[in-house]
Amino acid sequence: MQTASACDSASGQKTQSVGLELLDVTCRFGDVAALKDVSFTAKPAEFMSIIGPSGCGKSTLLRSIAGLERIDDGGIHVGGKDVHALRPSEREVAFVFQSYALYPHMTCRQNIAAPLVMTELSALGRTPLLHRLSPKARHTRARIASRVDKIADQLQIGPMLDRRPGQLSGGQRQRVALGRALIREPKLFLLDEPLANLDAALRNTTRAELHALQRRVGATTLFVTHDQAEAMAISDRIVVMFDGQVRQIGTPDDLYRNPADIDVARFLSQPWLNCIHMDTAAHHLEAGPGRPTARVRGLPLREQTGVVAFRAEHASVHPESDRAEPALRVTVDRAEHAGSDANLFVTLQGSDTQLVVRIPSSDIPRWPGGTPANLRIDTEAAWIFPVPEQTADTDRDAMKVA
Amino acid sequence: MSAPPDAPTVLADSRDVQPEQRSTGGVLAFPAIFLLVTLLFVPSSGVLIMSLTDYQFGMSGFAYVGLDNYRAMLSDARFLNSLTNTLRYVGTVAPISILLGLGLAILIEAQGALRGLYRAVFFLPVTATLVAMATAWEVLLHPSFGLVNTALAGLGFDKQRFLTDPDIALWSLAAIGVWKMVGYNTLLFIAGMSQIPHDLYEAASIDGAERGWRRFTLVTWPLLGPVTLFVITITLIRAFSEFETVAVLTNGGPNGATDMMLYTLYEEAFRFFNIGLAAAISVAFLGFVAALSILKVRLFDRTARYV
Repeated sequence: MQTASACDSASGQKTQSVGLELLDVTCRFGDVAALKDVSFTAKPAEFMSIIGPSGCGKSTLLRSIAGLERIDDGGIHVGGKDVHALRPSEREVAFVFQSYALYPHMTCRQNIAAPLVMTELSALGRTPLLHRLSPKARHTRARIASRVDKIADQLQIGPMLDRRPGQLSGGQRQRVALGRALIREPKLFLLDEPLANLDAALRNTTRAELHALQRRVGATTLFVTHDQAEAMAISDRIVVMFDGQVRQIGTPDDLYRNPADIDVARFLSQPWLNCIHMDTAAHHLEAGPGRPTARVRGLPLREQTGVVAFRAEHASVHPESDRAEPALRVTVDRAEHAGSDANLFVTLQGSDTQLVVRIPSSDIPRWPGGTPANLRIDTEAAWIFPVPEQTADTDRDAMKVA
Repeated sequence: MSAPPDAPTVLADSRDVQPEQRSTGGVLAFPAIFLLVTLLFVPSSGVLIMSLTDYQFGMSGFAYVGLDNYRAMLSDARFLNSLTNTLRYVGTVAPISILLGLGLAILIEAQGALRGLYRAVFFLPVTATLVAMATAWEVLLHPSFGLVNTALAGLGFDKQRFLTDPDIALWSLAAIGVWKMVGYNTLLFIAGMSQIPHDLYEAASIDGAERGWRRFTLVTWPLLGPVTLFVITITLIRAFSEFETVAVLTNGGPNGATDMMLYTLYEEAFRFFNIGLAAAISVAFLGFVAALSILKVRLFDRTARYV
């Protein structure tokens, strides 16, 4: 039960936030390990996203922290306290479901109040009409009502409080779900793809509001999403998961500039990560009289094994006649308009490797399909990765490596 | 659960329907309308008209007698006795079989490996032919060598004349009625419980209603509302229409102690050929069932909207 002082603190004030520490968390479903030795630490008040392809275990991880899944090994510490033996309601965490999971038979007011009603009122206090018999229950109910009003003000859902979830739009339901999470004044916010069911326009505004709300409330937040752009936009740090394991943890900038491996780089590339086999790249880049040894980040390609990988924005396309710099010889396939930029899709000559280059959209007319061209790589922004093992991690694995 | 639709489905306005669509619709609806009219509306109107006449089987003509049949019905001692018995039977069987069905459904769903077995065991009486089952009950409840009395005697109790003691007979039939209906109700409740989204239970466990009474009152019971309403209505109607056990086991006896509405109706119509009175009883019965159905539809519309 919450103490009176905790209840009286205004919901706008920052709650005392705590860190989260995961130590070798392992979770198995039968023979399948959904989580393998997951360890990381979230600092107090930090906004951390967990991203990864579907089935990578990110939701399982969040559910384990909430206590909705039993972990087989490892430890979860919220604010330095081991929560292993605690029930979900005792962990002082709030969970926002992708489906919102609002109680359909209750008004929004009742939905938001539910966590307090369930933990602070006795069975008598929860009974309609009969609760009037107990002065204590009356007092508690009044306090809960005023907290609901405060939360509703904060989320601007006051006018909808007496409606049922079925009468609200997706965005409004999402706010009610947030309200139900906020009213507990939790130490830890767990958000499981809370924006996935909103339409694109609403998602962008809601994500900004969510970020502002988190800053205002100051609760440590774990945010699960499969949308890397969403994670990059609002996170302090991002945890990238593949196959139930943490691959990399870092700030959005870290992940973008220094991906730990090819999977992470692929996951954070739009529309995809270009990969060319080392020998093919060297062959192309060194073709022509007097070309120097081809290097990526100073390393001679001939002495490396694996693939050369680079993003669409780290390459440029030039007319076939322009041979001033080492380049890959490609043929233009098509262009996709994306506002100020465009993605130009090309095929590496002499193979069926598809590559993509970011160009200004005003240049689209210069590159009709079938045009031969030279593709230059920014060799200081490209990476050399070992040849990836064929796993079922991502759709993009289907992309061939020449 | 995927994204719930934000806007309710808008039905096409009938003014937008083209004339040829209208006639196609008429053709498609004709078989159903024809069957409804010939099998339901014509016979019920016939009964309604007969209840206002002095028609007897075999007579060539009949005369309009107004509400005489209804007056006769309400002053008929046998009818009043059978109505009282029916209400006592319904008042016993319906609550017990509904609450027991709900309890069993919760227990069976909480059970792991044997879930399928329990479902089958409790549903069997629903699938069995009741006339045959009634005969089996007759053997079980036989005053001298029935299994139940043997057991009672073995435990040191007096033997009972379950079907011939006027104080017990109705409750014996009620027990068989519960046995017959509880499986169906259990199955309906199980079906209703399987429709409750799992994430609501997860939300409940985070909100502090992880198990037991809190969880039941926060999620299970409210979300079973529409199913419960359906179960209540169907059980009331089925209990009200009890006929087979009366006809097979007691013939309304001893001394009218188990006489029930449908059995009275049957005897008045086909044993005493008192068609006018039988028709009046039919109309009263129809009125009761119709009232229940209308009430259910009204309530269902109001409570079921959120599911």
